[in-house]
Amino acid sequence: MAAAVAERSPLRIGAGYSFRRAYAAQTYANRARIDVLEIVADHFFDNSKACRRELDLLAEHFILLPHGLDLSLGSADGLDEAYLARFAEVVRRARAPWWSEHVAFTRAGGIAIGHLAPLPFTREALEVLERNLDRARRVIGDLPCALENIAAPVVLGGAEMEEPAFLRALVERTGCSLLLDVENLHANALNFGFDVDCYLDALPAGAVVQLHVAGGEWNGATYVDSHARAVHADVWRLVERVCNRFAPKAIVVERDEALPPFDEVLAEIERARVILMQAAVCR
Amino acid sequence: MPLAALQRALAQLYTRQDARDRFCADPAEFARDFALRPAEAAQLASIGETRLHAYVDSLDRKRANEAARLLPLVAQALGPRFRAEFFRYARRVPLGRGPRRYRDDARRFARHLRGL
Ligand SMILES: [Fe+2]
Repeated sequence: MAAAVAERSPLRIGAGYSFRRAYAAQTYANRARIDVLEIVADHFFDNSKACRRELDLLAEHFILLPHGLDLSLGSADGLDEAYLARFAEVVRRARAPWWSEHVAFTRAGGIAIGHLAPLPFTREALEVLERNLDRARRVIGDLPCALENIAAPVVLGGAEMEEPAFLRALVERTGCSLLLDVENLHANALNFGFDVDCYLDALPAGAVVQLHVAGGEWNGATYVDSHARAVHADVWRLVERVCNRFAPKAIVVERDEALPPFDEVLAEIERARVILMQAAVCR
Repeated sequence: MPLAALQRALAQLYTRQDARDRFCADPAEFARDFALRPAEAAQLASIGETRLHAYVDSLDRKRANEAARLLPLVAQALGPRFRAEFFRYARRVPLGRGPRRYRDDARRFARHLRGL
């Protein structure tokens, strides 16, 4: 079993953002203000020389956290080996302290859904995740991984446990760590009306190594994690609570749509760093 | 493998208009098509049409965003019609597979526009 992140990278890394090529020049220019870059592995699957050089250059200047979107660890059909091989190659080149994916499935019966779809919180789903993660680790190698909670667009009935208990069981069975997406948690709590503190109480405290923060918006009666807005004040408050509880090692700001001037992203990174470091001092 | 069958049914629902039509008309019949056991059939029915359609809209929006990113000049030229036309196209043509699927999607959409 791969070592948990806590044993492998004891240092707190800091704050950064999910790298966008549109910001490449500003990213290098401001590298003193960016402790870590998450890279979406799928954006580096192009096996051209230019793409490999881009990744190598990023790895020379930043701590990189490769993040997969389509490994589909929750697929009962098993993993797509071609995707896994590509993903593993990006992780290897990134020389990362850990890699991350989602507690979700994106493929079934030969169909690509195109986005993260929720799993039922059942023992069978846990077994599938364990089996697929085991296979992924055989190819990626002995590097810690962190699995992320998704924003649930729908909730499947028939759950045998709540999400935090499911995540706890996943950590216990596989030794993985958790990437807690605070915006997704916020969105799920608003859309499905559960208590965030109860959720946090039930999570395995030592397992949370990384946070995502992002902005969302209301679309009718549904709160959507659009990643197209500034981080909401309520989410920042939640980040503070989460940091005080779990002392994560890194916070990554996600901004995918309606990219603002880079100064706004830098300001969010700065704010995340302050929260992370203050929580560290308080502990 | 009940989960595999459930996921296959879900993937159809999330990506195929004809599957959604069949599901909304008769959820029990739809569940039988995928050989779901009663437990999984109940899980499927528990989603609810409202949330299902909201999810499908968000998937289509994501596809439209990717297409607009890949075809920026077309998006600029068409303005709001770009999205309206894309959603019409997306109802009929599901997203493909593989790492190039958004590029393929944009290409297919461009062909669709040419055919108008
Ligand atoms: Fe996230």
